[in-house]
Amino acid sequence: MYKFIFEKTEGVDVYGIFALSTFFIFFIVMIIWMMRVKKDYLSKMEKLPLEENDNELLNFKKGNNNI
Amino acid sequence: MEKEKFYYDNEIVKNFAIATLVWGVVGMLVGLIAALQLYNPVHNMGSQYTTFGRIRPLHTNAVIFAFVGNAIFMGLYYSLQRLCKARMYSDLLSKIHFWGWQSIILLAAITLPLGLSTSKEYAELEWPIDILITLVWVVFAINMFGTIIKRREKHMYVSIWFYIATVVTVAVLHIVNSIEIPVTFFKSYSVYAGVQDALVQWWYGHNAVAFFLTTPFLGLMYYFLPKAAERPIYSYRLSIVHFWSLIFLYIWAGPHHLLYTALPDWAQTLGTVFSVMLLAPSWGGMFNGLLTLRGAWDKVREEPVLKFMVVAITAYGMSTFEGPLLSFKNVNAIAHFTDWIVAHAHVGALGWNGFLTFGILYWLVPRLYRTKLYSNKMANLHFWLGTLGIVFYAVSMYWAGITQSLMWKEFTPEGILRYPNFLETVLQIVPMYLIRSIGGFLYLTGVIIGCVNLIKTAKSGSLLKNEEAEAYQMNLMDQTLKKEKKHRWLESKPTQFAILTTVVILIGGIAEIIPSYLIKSNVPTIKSVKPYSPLELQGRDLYIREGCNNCHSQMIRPFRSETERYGEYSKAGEFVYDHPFLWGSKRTGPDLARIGQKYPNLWHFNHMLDPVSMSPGSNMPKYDWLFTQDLDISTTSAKIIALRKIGVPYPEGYENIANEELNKQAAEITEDLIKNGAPAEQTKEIIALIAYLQRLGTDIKGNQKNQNTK
Repeated sequence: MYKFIFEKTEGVDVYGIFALSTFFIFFIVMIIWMMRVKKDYLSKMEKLPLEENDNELLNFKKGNNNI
Repeated sequence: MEKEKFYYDNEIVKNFAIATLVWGVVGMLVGLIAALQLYNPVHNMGSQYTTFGRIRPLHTNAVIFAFVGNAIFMGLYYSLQRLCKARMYSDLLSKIHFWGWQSIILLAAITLPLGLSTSKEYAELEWPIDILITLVWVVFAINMFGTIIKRREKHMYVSIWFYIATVVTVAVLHIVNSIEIPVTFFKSYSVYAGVQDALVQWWYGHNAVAFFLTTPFLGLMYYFLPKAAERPIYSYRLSIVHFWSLIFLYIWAGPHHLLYTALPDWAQTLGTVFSVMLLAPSWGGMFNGLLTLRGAWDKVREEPVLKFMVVAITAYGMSTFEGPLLSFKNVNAIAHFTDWIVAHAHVGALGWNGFLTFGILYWLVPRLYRTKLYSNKMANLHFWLGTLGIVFYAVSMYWAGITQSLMWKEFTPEGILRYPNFLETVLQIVPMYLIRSIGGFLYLTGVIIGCVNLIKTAKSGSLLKNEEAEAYQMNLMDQTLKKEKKHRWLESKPTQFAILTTVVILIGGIAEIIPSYLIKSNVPTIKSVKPYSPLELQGRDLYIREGCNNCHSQMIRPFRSETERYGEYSKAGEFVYDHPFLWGSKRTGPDLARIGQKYPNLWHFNHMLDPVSMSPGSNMPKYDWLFTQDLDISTTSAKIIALRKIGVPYPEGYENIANEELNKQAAEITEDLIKNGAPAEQTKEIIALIAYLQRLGTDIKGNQKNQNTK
């Protein structure tokens, strides 16, 4: 039934093509990006949440080093 | 080069933490009361304000937006400041955000029991509150982006990406789904109708799960898990893939909530395909979390914080595995409308959101108060009660869901339904409802123990309202980072990042929703489908007020087991005047799509007064207040005018005679009831509700010939 409606709706196939092509482009761009990401950037980034530990330790009274 | 000194705002984090605990207990308590009512409706305490249909939305809103919402803000305000090496942009905006959000919750807690509801799941709040939500969200967004812009750290850590995606997408979802036409200050109609309303609602509903319950919590996971485990995330590269693929895929998956309904097939298939693909980024994220703990599992044994986090991430993995599974049409055919979905939702809410929240709280509160956790033993007790609670809850609901569904679908060798009486399938699973409430009770007990532990912790220390920190200014850092010529254009610039994120999430939304607009003008209209009469319309609004849609669907799927039980399957064209749609998502009671004219008026009269008198053993509550309260007909003409504005073809001037028509129809029904010996009064609400119920599905009942293309 809906196939029939779609046949009547002009230019609706554009949506299917649009969806498929964005999907492919999106993931190909992402893969290329991932392959090109530099190691030093990654290692800098992953340490970011742990960096402020210095400050924390400055402020932190002894006794709460359970984690 | 001097470092700059500044202070983190811990006060706002503390406020959100307190709100998390308070609303957590309230939301779960309401959930427990709702659970008790499911096997014995007397637990509504005889009041309309505490009856299931009204407190179920209260429970979901309280847990999602109050408990989880405040937990998000707590963790976000803490981690964002530290990841940006900056205090929040404005203390005033932080305060407005906090108090604004709490007042929204308070208004929800007042209006939902009063029955002021739009009926759209997780978006039940009426239009004035919707506007308030928008304003508060804008305040939050300004505060967050302001902080990111004035940050002292060049790069934006992946948690911030998840926060940005949350802020942007929730805004889009909330606005699109809340477009409604006000009738009075407390009443509005969705501008969308029927199939379109369903599609928009579940695009919203699904992505509320995605961008309120998932992405912000993933942001929190990527920050607090490395902190608690004292080691970096397993793979930062994986977290980037996780982020982009998750937000890209999630937005398409909404229609999996509408499989086998009157929603067009192409949209259903799209929902399934994207849901299946969603497994990849979800599990990528889960592994990234769990593998962060490699070499630290000995700590997990000792440390309650990590225990909570491990179970949370495991629950995330379980529910994101189950999601795609439930999106297969064959699995969905069994699971939809049953307690299986309830189990699925609670593994996510209790496990993923609840446990990650408490993991963070146990880590955070001792730090905010410069002290040690009051009792590790209590935290462990909380952990085990919570875990046990989840197991009791989930197992009983899986059992209940599958049992009931199989009973619905069972035929005798002669080819008739084995359990033609719906109630039989309910009574079968009542023990499971009992076990579920025990699960909920255990979980809530754990939470209360957790609250006591955290309060004692806070009392044993003192809050460091402003925490001193120092960092280089960003422009100074720029010089040191000059070497990075090709630095990441995107992730160091919040504005571009937010725009790209918006584009990514809009692609899915646009590709799904625009075709539904194209279809609207081509959908087969059914000649015999007419707008509701004024009395039926008022009755429909009572149906919405009482939240009947929380237990009754109005959507007969094209299965033999359903057409045998309920009648002809539902057609898209039947719902063109339904603002909002009332398809429902759970069948605690039977489907009502074709209840009209199935029973005499008297049956409904007696059934609403005391359901047990008509269906012995029924778990439906009594609706005796409908028999004493007068129907408010002062709104009739305003309702007609509002609906005409959004496309319902009431003739011009009809609003002037609407109440005349209403009284005429009410008199007919009352006369019929009195003739059959019922003490009916024409002015009471029950008459309108009966009128609506008797109309349901009768437009095309057994009459396919009327179906015509426009």
